[in-house]
Amino acid sequence: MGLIDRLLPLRPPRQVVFAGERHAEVFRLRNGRVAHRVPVPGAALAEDPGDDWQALFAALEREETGVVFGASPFIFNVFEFDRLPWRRQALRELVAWRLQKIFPENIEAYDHRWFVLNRRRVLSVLVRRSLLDSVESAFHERNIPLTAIGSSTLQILGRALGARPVPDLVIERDGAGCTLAFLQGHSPIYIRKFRGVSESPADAGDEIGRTVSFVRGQYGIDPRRCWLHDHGGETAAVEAALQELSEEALGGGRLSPLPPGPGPTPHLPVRP
Amino acid sequence: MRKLEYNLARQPRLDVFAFVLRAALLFLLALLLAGLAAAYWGGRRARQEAAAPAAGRLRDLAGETSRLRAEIESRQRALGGQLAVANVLIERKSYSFVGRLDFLEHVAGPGIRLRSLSLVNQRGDRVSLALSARSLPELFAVYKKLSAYGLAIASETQTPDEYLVQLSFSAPDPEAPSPRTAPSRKSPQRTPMTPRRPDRK
Repeated sequence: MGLIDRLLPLRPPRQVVFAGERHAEVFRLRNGRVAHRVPVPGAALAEDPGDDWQALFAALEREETGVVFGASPFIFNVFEFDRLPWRRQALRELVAWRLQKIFPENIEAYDHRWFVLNRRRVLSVLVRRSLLDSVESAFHERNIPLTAIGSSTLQILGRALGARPVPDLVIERDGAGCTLAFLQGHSPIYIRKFRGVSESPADAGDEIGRTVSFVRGQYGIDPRRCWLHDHGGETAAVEAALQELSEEALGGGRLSPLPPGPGPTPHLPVRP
Repeated sequence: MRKLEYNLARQPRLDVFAFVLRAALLFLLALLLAGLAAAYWGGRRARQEAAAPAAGRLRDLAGETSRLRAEIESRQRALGGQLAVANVLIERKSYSFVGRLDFLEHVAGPGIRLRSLSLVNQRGDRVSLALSARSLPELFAVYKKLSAYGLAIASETQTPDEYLVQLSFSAPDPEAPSPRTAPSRKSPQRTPMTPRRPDRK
């Protein structure tokens, strides 16, 4: 975030569409707060936005709109270097080189943004350009101004990094997909998305326990405080599943959700 | 950790109110900085103006110092020339005609008459003189006193009344010790004394 971005603040949209894995929801905002929610069940906007947009547009008004996608269309990577170069061009080339080493697909088909986290780490975010193009064209056809396209994961991460105390682990669950972001020293160090588990909170809890154990051994950190947000509204169930995990499953510790937690809409660009 | 600003929309909308607010804050900040800078430069200029007379006087003093230094050097050069001339004069002044006469006065005791004297105005010259003595002891006393100064006796003539002698010696330096106290270094070179015919008068 450069100086120009600070000098040119963007206006938050009047309504926000959260495009989850198997559902969507329209949030109408007034004075930066959620004033009204309209759920659109069954809309998989991040996968095939064809007919699902029709049902969504019926719930939208002709005002500035933002779309926040869940974690599924995004690819997150935390790159760690010995030391980041000072020059922006050299840094850009270094990040692109590192991405090419791990990313097998055509990078040109993806929108790639990256953030310098600290002196050694860079957060890389990829999303398919085709998805962005389809969303832009759909809103353009309806003559609805689309002023923001964001990521719920990055939104929650931003909130978590500004919280006191900063959680060690941020869990975002959306249907069968789950995203885990481990934080250390006000910076994400490891982000993992996984799918394929059933939609049972207990299954998600087991996979979370294994990942926590892996990160504990790999990075030498001991995550205890976690933020949990379930887009399906099963936050309490996942919390209970995490509490039921044995210490062995978590690699010798316990995860305890941070009170008061991330709030009801940490994934949206609204006031908590 | 920097804020994660992530917006992929092609036409994001500028928050005009926030922009104007930040621009106004920046403008006020710039105004404040400009005011501070103006106050600083104004104060600096005032200080410079206040210090201008002192600076001028300092410059005058520096100029006066330079002028005096040049004058001192000029005078030193002139005095150096005068000093060299004076040193030359002092060098030449080292020959003392009166000193030699005074020396002869001390050498010639009672009964000695100086008949003729030849001096050269030059350091280390030899003084040639002719003297007459009434007795031989008086003459020997003279020889003894001059023996320390390279005494050379050219001739000795004995008459019934007196002894006539022509001799020469090296004139002593002004710093030379008095002939009364000077030790005898060597015997005078004596020539055979020859009898002199009495004057026909």
